[in-house]
Amino acid sequence: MHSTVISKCKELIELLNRYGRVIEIHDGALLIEVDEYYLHELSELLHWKLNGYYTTSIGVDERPLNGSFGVYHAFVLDDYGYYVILYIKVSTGLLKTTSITPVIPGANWAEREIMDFLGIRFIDHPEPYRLILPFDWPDGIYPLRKDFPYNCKASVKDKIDEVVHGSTSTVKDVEELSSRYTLVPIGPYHPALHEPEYFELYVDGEKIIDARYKGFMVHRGMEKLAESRLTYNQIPFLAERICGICGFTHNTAYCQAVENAAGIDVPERALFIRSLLLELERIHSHLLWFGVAFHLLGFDTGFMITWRLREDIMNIAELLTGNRKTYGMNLIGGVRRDVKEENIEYIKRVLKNLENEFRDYMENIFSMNELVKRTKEIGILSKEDARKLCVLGPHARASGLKTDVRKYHPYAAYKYVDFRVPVRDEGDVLARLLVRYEEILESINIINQLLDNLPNTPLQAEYDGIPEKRLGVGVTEAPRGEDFHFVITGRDNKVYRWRPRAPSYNNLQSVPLMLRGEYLADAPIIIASIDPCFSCTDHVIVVDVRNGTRKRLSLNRILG
Amino acid sequence: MIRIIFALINVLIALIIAPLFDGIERKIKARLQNRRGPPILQTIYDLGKLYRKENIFLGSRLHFITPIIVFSNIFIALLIIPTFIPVSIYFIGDIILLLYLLSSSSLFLVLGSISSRNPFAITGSNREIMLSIGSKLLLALSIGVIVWNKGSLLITRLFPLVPPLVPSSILSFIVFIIIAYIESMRLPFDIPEAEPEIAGGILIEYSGPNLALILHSIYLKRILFASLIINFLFYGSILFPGYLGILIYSIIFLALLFIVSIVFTVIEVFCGRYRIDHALKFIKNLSLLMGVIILLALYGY
Amino acid sequence: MSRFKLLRKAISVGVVTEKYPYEPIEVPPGFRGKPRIDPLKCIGCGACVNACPPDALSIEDDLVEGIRYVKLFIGRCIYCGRCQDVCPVEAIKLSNEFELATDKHDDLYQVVGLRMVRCRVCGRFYTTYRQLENVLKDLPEEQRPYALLCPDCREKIASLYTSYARR
Repeated sequence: MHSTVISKCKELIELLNRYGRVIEIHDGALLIEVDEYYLHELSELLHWKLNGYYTTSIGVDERPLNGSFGVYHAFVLDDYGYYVILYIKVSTGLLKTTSITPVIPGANWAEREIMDFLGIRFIDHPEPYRLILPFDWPDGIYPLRKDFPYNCKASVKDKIDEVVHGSTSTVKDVEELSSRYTLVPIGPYHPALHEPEYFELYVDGEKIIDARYKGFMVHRGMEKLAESRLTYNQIPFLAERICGICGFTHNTAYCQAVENAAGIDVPERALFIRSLLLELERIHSHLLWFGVAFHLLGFDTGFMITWRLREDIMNIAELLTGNRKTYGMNLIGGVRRDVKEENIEYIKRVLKNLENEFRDYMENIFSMNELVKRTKEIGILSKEDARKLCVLGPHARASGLKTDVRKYHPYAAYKYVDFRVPVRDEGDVLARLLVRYEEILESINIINQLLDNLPNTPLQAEYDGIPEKRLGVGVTEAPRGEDFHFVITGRDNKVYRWRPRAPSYNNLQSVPLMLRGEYLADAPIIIASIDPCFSCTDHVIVVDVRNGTRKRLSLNRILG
Repeated sequence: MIRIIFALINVLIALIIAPLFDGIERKIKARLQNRRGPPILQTIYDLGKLYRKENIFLGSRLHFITPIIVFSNIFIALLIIPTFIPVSIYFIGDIILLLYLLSSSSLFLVLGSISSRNPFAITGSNREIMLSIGSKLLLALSIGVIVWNKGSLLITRLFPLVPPLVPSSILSFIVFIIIAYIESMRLPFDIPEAEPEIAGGILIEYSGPNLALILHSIYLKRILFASLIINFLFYGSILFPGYLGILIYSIIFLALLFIVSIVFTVIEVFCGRYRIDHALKFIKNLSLLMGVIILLALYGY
Repeated sequence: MSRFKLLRKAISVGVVTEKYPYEPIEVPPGFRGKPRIDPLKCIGCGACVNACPPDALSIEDDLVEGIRYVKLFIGRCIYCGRCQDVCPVEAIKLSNEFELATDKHDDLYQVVGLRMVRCRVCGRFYTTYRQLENVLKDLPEEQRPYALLCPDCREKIASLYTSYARR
C-alpha cells in the first residue's frame, strides 16, 4: 500500500512538473509555483480530469518576505491522497491576477474574500462585488495587509455618499423580480435561524422563484488577531472558539497544520485521544442537528429526544476534558490531559446505551409519514452541481460524492481504525438525514475501537521551537465537511498567516440553487439540511477604520 | 331571564377555564418530552401580561379592530351552546348562527392579518384561507348530516347524538371530531401559525391586548369544540335535580373536557407539522368520505 | 404503531431535567472553573501572564513602593487552565466554581501583592523576594551573587568579567 502511494505521487509529480517547480512541503501536500498563464488549464486538470476538487483560495501579504503578494489555490486529490497547492505571485504594482471562477464556480467566494481583504483584483470574475466587508467600509483600506494594525479604531466622520453593496445571488435583476413577486426575508433575525444571516426569497404564493444570500454578519477578526498578537500555543484556544459546535476540529486542524509545517511527530497516544474527542464531537454535533431539523419540521418532541441523548455525550466530554464544549485539550505537539483507565468502561457503557436508544427512536421516527413526506425529494442537489460548487461533508455524500478526509487523507489515529463511509445518491433532505444517522453509528463504532487499542506513549512531543517561513496544511473532517487550515509560520513564536476555512463556506454557495422551485414552507429545512454553521463561515471581525485615512465613502446603487 | 344569566355564567367560566386548560396541556406536553414544563397557571399569567401591555397601531384600522370582532364572535357562539350549565340562549335556526360565527371568526382573522401587509402575515393568511375553506365546508356538512337525521335546526335538539342510531350519524360524528382537532390550531395543522417557518404567521403583527384577544379566542374555540363533542355524547344523561344537580353536572362536564383535552394533547405531541398541500390532501380525502356519508344519510342509513 | 412506542418510551423515561437553580448541581472532578491565585505560594514570576491567551493575568510593578501586583481579571478568563499548567510552584489553580455572575465589578478581580527586592548595585527594584528565594535554592554556590543583581547590572559585570578574563 505504501509503495502504490509513492508511485502514484511520482506519477502526479511528473504530470505537474510541466507547469512549474513542484515542492513537497510535507507528507501529503505539494506546492507548485505557476505562472498565471497555466492557471485555467491546471485548474481544469486538477478539478475535473483527475477527479479531485478545488477547496479554497488563500491570499497572503508576503511583501516583508519577498516583496509581492501571494495567492494560493488549494486542490484536494482523493485518488492520490494528496493536496496540491498552486502558488501565484502577484506583483505589488499591478495587483491583479486571473480568476479561476469561470472554470470552477465554487471559487467565487474565496476570490472575493481576497479582493476584500488584500485588494487584489481577479480578472474575469463574474461577480466582483464585496463579500465580507460591510457596505460602509471605505475603499482602499484592506484589513489583512501587514501595514494595517489590528487594533486601530476610528470614527466615521464623513457623510456616507455612496455604498458599494454586493452579495451572493443567482438573481440577476432584483428590481424586476421584486415588482412581480413577494419578497420574504428570512433573517437576519428569524426563528428558523440560530445565527444572523440573510436569505432573501422571492415567492409567488407558496413557491420560491429565486433566492439570494447575504451573510458574514458574525465576522470576528480571528485571522488578523492570530497574526498580530498570539503565540503558537495560544491560537488553539482562539481556534476552538470559531464555532460553538465544532470547535475541537478547528483546534486540531490548526495544530496539525503547524505540526506538519515544522515536522513535529505527535506521539500515538495523543493521536488516539484527539481522534476520540473528534468523534465525540461529531456525535454531539449530529444529534444537535437532528434536534434542529425536527424542530423546523414542527416535531418538537424529536428535538427534546435527540437533545436528551446528547446530554450523555456532553457529560462524557466534561469528564474527560473539564468542560462540555470548549475542550482546550490541544497544544502544538500533543494533548494536555490523559484518558484515565477507570473512565473507559464508563464511556463504553454510556455509548452502548446511547446507540440502542438512538436506533430505537430513529426507526420509529423515520416511519412517521408526515416527516418523510416533508423531506423526500425536497431540496435536491444533483451530483454534477455538487461537484461544480465543491460542496463538502455529509452534504456531498448525500448527493453521491464519495469524499471523506478520514479515509482518503488519514490524519490523527484514523489509519488504525476500520470504518465505513455512508454515501447516498438521492441528494434530497431525507438522504442528508440518513447519512448523518449512519455517521453517528459509525462514530460510536470508531470510538469503541479507539478505546480498545490505546497505546502507551507520552502525551506531548518535545521540539525545539518552530522554524519560520514554512507552509503547512492541516485538514480534518469536521461534522460538516472538510475543515482546511493553512499556516505559514513566522518569527518570534508567532504565525505569519493562518487561514481557517470551515466547510460551511463551500456548502452555503449551494443554497440558492437548492431553494429555487421549492415551497416556502420547506425553505427553513432546506437551509438547515446543509447544517450551516455561520460562526464557522464568518470568522473575521470588521476592524474599524483609522481616523482620517479615508477620503470618501461611495454609495453606489444599492443592490437590494 | 335566568336563562341569560346562566348562559353568561357559562361563558365567564369558559373564559377562565380556557387558558387554564392550555396551561395543563403545556404541562402534559412537557412531561411527555421528559421535562418539567411551566406552571399550570402560566398561560393565565401570559394573557394577563399581554392585556396590560400597549397596543401598537400600524396604520390599518381593519387590522386594529379585528381582534375584538373575532373575540366577540366566539363569545356569542359560546352563549348559544350549553356548556357547564346545561342551558343556552336558543331559537330556531341557531345552528346556522353557530356555523356563521365560526366561519366569520376565521374570515376576520385572515382579513386582519392581510391588512398588516407583512409578508409573513400574508403567507400565513394564505394558508389559513386554504385550510379554512376545506375545514369549514366539512364542518357544515357533518353537522348537516346530524341535523338531517335528527330533523331539527335547534342546537339543543341535536344532543345527544344517539336516539336515531344510524351509521351516517356516527360516521359524521367521527368526521366532526377530526374537524374539531383541525380547528383547534394544533400540530399537525398549526400551519397558519407556524413559528419556525414563518415567524408567527397570522399572529405576527399583533401585540398587547390585541394579541391577547386573539389567543384567548383560540383557546375558547378549543373549549367550544370540545363542549360540542361532549354534548353530542352525554347531553341530558347525567342531570340531577336542583342547584346541587347543576353543580355536579358542571364538575362532571369539566372532567370530561379535561379528558378530551388530554387525548388531543397526546396526539399533538407525537406529530410533525403538515405542509399546506399535504393538509389539503388530507381534507380532500375526508371530503370524499363525507360524500359517501351524505349518500348514506339520504338513503336513510 | 411507532407513535405508541414513542409514547410508552416517553412515559418510562420520566423527567430528566434538574431543578437548578433551586437545587445545587454537581460537577465532575477535573472541571475547569474559576482560577484562584494562592497568595502564600505565588512568587510573581509571570509565567502565567505569558501563557494566558486572552491576557486575563497581568503584572504591574509599583517601582516607587517596591510592590509587584499580580492581577487576575475573571472577565477575560476563558478557563483554559494554561496558567495552572505553567506555574512552577502550583500557586494558581482552577477551582470548581462556575456561578460567577455578580453586579459588583470588584468581585471579578483578584490582586496579589508581593514585595520586591532592591539590586545590590544600582538600588532599583527588579524582582520579588519569593522569586529570589526560589531561584537561590537551586543555583550553584558560585553563581549566587549574580542573582542579587538586577539584569542590567548583571550584564555589565558579566561583560567586564569576560573581557577581563580574555586579557
